[in-house]
Amino acid sequence: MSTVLAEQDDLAEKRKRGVRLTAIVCGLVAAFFYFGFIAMTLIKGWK
Amino acid sequence: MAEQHSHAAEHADHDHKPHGWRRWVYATNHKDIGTMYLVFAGIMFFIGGAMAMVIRAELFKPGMQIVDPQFFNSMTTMHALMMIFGAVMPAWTGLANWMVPLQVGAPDMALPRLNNFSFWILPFAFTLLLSSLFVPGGAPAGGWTMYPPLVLQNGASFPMLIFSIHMMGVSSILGAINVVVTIMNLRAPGMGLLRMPLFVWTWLITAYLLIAVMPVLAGAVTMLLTDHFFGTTFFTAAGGGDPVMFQHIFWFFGHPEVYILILPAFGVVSEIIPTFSRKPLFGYEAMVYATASIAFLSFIVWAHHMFTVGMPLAAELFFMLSTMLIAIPTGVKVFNWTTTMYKGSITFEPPMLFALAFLFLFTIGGFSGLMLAIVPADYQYQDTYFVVAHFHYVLVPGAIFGIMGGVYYWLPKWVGRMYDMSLAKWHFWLSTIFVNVLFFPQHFLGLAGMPRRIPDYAVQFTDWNMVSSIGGFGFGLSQLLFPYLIWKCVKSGQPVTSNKVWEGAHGLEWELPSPAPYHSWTDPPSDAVVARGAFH
Repeated sequence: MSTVLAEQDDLAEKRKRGVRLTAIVCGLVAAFFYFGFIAMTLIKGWK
Repeated sequence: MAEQHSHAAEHADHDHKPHGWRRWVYATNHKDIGTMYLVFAGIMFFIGGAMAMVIRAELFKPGMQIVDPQFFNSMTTMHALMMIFGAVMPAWTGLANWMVPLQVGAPDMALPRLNNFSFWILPFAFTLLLSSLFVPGGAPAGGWTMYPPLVLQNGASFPMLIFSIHMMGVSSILGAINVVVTIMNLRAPGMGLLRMPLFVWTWLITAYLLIAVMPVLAGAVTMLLTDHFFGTTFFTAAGGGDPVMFQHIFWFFGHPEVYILILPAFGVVSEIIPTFSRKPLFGYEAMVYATASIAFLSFIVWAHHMFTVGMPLAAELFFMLSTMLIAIPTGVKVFNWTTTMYKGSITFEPPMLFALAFLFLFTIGGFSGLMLAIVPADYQYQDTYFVVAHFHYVLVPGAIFGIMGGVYYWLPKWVGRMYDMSLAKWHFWLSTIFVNVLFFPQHFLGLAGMPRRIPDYAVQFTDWNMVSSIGGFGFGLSQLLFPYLIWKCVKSGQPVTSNKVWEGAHGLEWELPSPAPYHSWTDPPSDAVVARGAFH
């Protein structure tokens, strides 16, 4: 969090949790697509 | 007015802005990072443009004149990589960095240090990619699509290409996560999702596309890397792998990528046209749903890029029809932009000129896309200059004009000064005339059978190639006006006299002083301000 964001009253714990949660979900989606497509290609190769 | 300026000046004195190189290397301010993205994109645009000039100089007449075929192939490959990943995508991220927090009433991007990291990966990625021009065997020359087995013959540049693509991917994914997190969590109170400006909406959808498909590209090039260096055979037929599988994976990324490049332009145009028509945008919600529909459809049309590799008839029909379906939400957008202008009090400042050129010329690119979607016709068009003409109409007067329109629209808000309006109109008219001289004849060349990615051609293609090259040189030279105009504006432009800059503008960014203070919306805008700036 930048100083400006941390200072904003509205950005209290709830909002910070939202930021973390959204970032983690997005990261997991990205990881799913990365590993998912590699796994899919592997599985197709084994057939 | 003087009051506003003194307020802005006072603000600037107390903004605790870091100075010197630290301001840029350690930047966490969204405006600084946005500026760095835009400058970086500008540099890449001119390097990629110089490569295009080499291509057009070689193709000016038949026979081999200037470069050898290997270098020519490197130029086509590198031009695409530089323009897509180095110019257009970073330019959009730069505009998102500048505008998303201002438009949703947030004090900054939600993850400012991640934002810094996302940007600073890029100079390293592109230095690595460009340095491949100097290694034995030369730069990558197998096309930006990196199809195996051709790409595996690249020599020393191959791992450089793969590593730089990975870095660009990481940068894009992190940037996209930042945009999603900011929009979903840092909107000002009262700024509901269906009150957001269209630029924010289109970027939100673009960010979702990026998060879904950039990892697919990264996965594909990781598999290329292991095929080349670690003995796997994902895409090597001799080991039981399938090179066509790479094409499917690449285009599963590649088609949404086209919309990653163009959706933010839809957002910019949806901001500009209402402003200069002095009317609210017609069908705001339809525009949002149309954008989401286009994004969804972009996931189920990828194989139209590869009809000629062969696939079952049912698959051909599915991909042909799903591709044509995209014309419906796109048509909704074109209709709404046109209807917004109907009975409007229209003026033709440079952002509006670029938006109008976008509307006409992008539609031409859309129509040739429909032609390419027809399977039997595509068998004729595949790998000809018709395809080159099609995607350049979508990406140059589409994405690039969108970026330029956006810069002309928001530059006075960023720097607090107005640019030279008549020089900007010169830039517009020269760009618009030459872009058509450059790309329209390529339709004729393609229909006559000229293949793409060749350094030499049969003599019957000479005339239109000459015309196209003249258009290319003209377009390239006229772009030099753009950085000059921005530099002149920053140094000596007329100070702007109102927050709004443009009479018909609506949105939270226009509620801030001009130039926008270094720290903006440190106190969230009130409900009344949000309502005044709301998009509809």
